[in-house]
Amino acid sequence: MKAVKTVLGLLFDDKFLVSGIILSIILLFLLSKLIHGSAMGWLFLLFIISSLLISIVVERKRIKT
Amino acid sequence: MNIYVILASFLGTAVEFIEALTIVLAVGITKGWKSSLLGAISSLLVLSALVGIFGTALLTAVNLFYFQAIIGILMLLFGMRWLRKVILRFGGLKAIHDEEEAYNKEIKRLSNHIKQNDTTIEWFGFGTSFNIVFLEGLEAIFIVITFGLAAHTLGSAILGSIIGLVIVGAAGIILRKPLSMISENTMKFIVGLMLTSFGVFWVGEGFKVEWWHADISILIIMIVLCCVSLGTAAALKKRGASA
Repeated sequence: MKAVKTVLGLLFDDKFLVSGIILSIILLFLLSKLIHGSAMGWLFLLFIISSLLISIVVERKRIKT
Repeated sequence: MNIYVILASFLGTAVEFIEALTIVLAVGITKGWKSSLLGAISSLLVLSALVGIFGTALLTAVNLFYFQAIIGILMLLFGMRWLRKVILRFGGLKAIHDEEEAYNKEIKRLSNHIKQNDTTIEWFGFGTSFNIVFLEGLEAIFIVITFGLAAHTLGSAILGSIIGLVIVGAAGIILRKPLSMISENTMKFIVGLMLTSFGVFWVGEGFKVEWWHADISILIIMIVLCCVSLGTAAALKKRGASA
């Protein structure tokens, strides 16, 4: 029960981050049909880094206001 | 006994054990040894049961890709959350140490300790250790079965993996103390970095990404994420100072 609460807490706590991760995975899934090899993996890393940076920018704005 | 199979199995499985050990150690230091070790032991029990039930048929009975994708997503969710928090702290947007929050947490922890005599398990620590040991253990079992069946000497492959497990385990016991001296925020940064790197790698593997030089890519992912995180924290600090 505690573990479920932790996961749910996480989902509601960092909406931007979780949305970014989900979007990155969807993009990875779509890309897996088009690109093969390690390029797909590095693109996925790029999406994940973008999600992280976007969530930090959003958090920074929230804290500043 | 085949010495080449013992050596191949030892090297192959030792890599997996080292990967699991780094996370188990980091989780133990940040979230408590009880949760970390219980997660690791529970995972080993589940793996033993799987081997007991399926035997060498485990190779065909279990699809590793599904496990990699699911556990990778969980690692990403938890790892990126930690990484984000630490970047914000290093960047000066969040207090490095909130005294009031720390005080309240300590009071709560002490009251829980008195009530439950320290029997509580930190589920994040338990789950993370369980997942990493399960996945790396499963990969190690696959290596043993593959080498053992290919060379028709399963005993040699098992012996190689046992030697690997003992050596890596001993290294973990030796490293436990020096690692405990690292500051809490730095340790959280390392854990966040590792969980996110493993998460990216496994989700990729789950979607059939052929990583460059296989597990070596984890190190590259880790270096890239480390540079981005430290760079972002430095940029946040600079902007904060100039604002």
